[in-house]
Amino acid sequence: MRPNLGVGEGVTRRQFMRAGAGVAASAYALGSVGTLAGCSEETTSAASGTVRAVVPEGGLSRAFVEAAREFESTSDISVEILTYPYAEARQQQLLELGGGGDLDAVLIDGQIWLAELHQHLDPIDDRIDASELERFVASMPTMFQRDDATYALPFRVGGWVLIYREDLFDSAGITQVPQTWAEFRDAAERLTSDQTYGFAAPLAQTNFLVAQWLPFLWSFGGELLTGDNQQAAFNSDAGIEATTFLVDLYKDGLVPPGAIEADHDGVITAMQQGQTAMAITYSPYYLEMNSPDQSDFAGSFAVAGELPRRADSDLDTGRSMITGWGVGIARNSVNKDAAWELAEYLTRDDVQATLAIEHGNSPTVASVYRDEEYLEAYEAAGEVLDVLKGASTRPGVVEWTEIEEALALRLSEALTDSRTVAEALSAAEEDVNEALGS
Amino acid sequence: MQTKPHGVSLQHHPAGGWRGRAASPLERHRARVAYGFILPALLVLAAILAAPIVFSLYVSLHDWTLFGDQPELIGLDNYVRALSDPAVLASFVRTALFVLITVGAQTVLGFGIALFLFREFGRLRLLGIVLLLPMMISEVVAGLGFRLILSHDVSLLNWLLGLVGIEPQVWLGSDWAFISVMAVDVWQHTPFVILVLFAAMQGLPQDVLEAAKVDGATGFTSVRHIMLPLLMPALLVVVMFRTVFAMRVFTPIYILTGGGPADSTTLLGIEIYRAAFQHYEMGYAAALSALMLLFSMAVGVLYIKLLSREALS
Repeated sequence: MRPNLGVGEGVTRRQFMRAGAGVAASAYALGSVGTLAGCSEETTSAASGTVRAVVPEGGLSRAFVEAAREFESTSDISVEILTYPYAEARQQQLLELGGGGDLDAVLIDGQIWLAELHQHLDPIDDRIDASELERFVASMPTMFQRDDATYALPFRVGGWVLIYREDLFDSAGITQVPQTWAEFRDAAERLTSDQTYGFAAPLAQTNFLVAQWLPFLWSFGGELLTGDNQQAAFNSDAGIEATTFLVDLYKDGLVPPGAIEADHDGVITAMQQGQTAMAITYSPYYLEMNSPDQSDFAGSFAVAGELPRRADSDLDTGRSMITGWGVGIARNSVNKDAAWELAEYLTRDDVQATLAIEHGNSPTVASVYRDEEYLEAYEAAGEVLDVLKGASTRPGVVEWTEIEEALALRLSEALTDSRTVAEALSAAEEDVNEALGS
Repeated sequence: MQTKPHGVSLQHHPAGGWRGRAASPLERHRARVAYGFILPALLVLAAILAAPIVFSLYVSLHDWTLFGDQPELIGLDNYVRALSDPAVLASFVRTALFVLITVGAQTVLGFGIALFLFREFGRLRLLGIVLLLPMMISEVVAGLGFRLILSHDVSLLNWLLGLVGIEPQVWLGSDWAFISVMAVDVWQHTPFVILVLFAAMQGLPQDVLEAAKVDGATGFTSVRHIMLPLLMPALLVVVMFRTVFAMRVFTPIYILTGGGPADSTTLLGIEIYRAAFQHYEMGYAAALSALMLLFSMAVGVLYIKLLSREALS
């Protein structure tokens, strides 16, 4: 029996604390809008029929805002969008959903956000025929499924791909995209000069460092967790080899020294400014790197159809990470039908094509990858699709944030010589198992 | 004669000290009216200040995650966990170091600059306004500005150092990150020290300073034996404020390093933020906040005692 807290009849402790959280969420929202870096608010009318959504900043918000404007012009529903940096968007969304806020449409970063959000979402299975999901790239709807229920339609999904400078490859006499990690290391060395570094990586102690490390781990034949997601599995020979490889790229001067304080923006900038020759990063960034408006080296970038792999492993190719955004409906929304209309609109074939061609969105509908206009804008779309087919997602465990934070810390320790790679992975294993309760 | 609001009149006794006498009905009525006037403000203050603290203390006794099960009363377990977590203890040590160094540097620099302004200008003019600018800039803006100055690939500082032949440094990397965030804090908050001490210097009795000069006190002697003792109350106040504010520093560190690399800039504020807004462990975060409040209060009480002793002496 739970102790009586004297909160009052008919009011549970959870309700009482949720009310407190609601106040905290509101205060935090005000604080965030007013003070946090790069935070902005784009608000349309607050009339009835308004769908409210929190959207992380960046390519996602640019595409989302454009599509929402178009949606408003074709329906009686208005869309109120609050944009925040990634981490703050996650906090704000969860605080609002948990604290009785009035969100209608919910943006979900694949399995990792779904694990903590699904209890606040309405399953959409009753609203959509299963065959409808077949028009998406096969691996994408599964990112938004949990316990046999589907919670969101995929809006923007990409994978970690090898983006490289063709002109620098030619100058260095590299005739073939690296197929193995040994070839990758060799290429990085040959591409490093007084002017450029071989490889760009986000090595600051953030979630981007973990996202960078995972394709290395998987493509060396390692695993993050055991099959049942109950224990850490990365502290293996493959894990140590993969981590040592990544750490050595940095320590041996093949990565810019400033990478230790860089996140994904730093990678995009380094490639746009011609500071680096290769990056293994989120596929939609290719368009930003290759945009003549943003880069002096536009036109020289290419995408490899596969990631490097360990030569003596069972892998045919490297294993990438797939990640991306879906649109779901808040369980407590009073505008569920309107939110669903928005989600359907955002994932329509024609809308996905327009967003991909005109706004650099990474499409989720398979037909867009065959669209000639899109292939003209994004020559590497076929390669990206190839990589996505064999890619893996991060595990859908509710403890993901703790796991990610522990991994970021320990990898950062290995990069800064606070611990050896073996010590760092052992410590991370301990942290992760503790987080998983095993 | 002075009258206190609670209706007891105080009269100075020839032997020293104050002695009370029973307040008259009129005085008691006045006191009640006075309390009536300040009551709404007191209620608002209580709601704004006390309610969140009480709620936070209440939450700290629970195991409560935003997306977990029902909150469960666990007594002091969150406090035990916090005080036995090596990461939290390390962040306490880092915070103490941060406070010690930044407040020390701000005090020395602030005193020096205030003295310079006082001696050379007498009043705050254009230079004074320029010196106070950092204090007026939002911490977010300052943090973003310093990211551009310090961030390796676009570092303005490295470019300037390059002009005199110094190799570029990774200012937010493992060797420099802690020093860099301390430097930003010193830059931003030294003006507060300048402002308070400069104001205090202007209130110093000129006759005492001039008498010391006539008696042959040199610049240093005058500062050491005349000015410093007279400025001690102001100095204590400013150090107390800076200590308490520095203990809860968050914004510049969050923007510049996020606590990294390898947790080298993870102070208590970052630790609380992670617990609350990354792990959503509201109970644990509330316990960490309560510990921080406790330490801030301890420092505050210590300074107030020192201040009282200073005032009495």
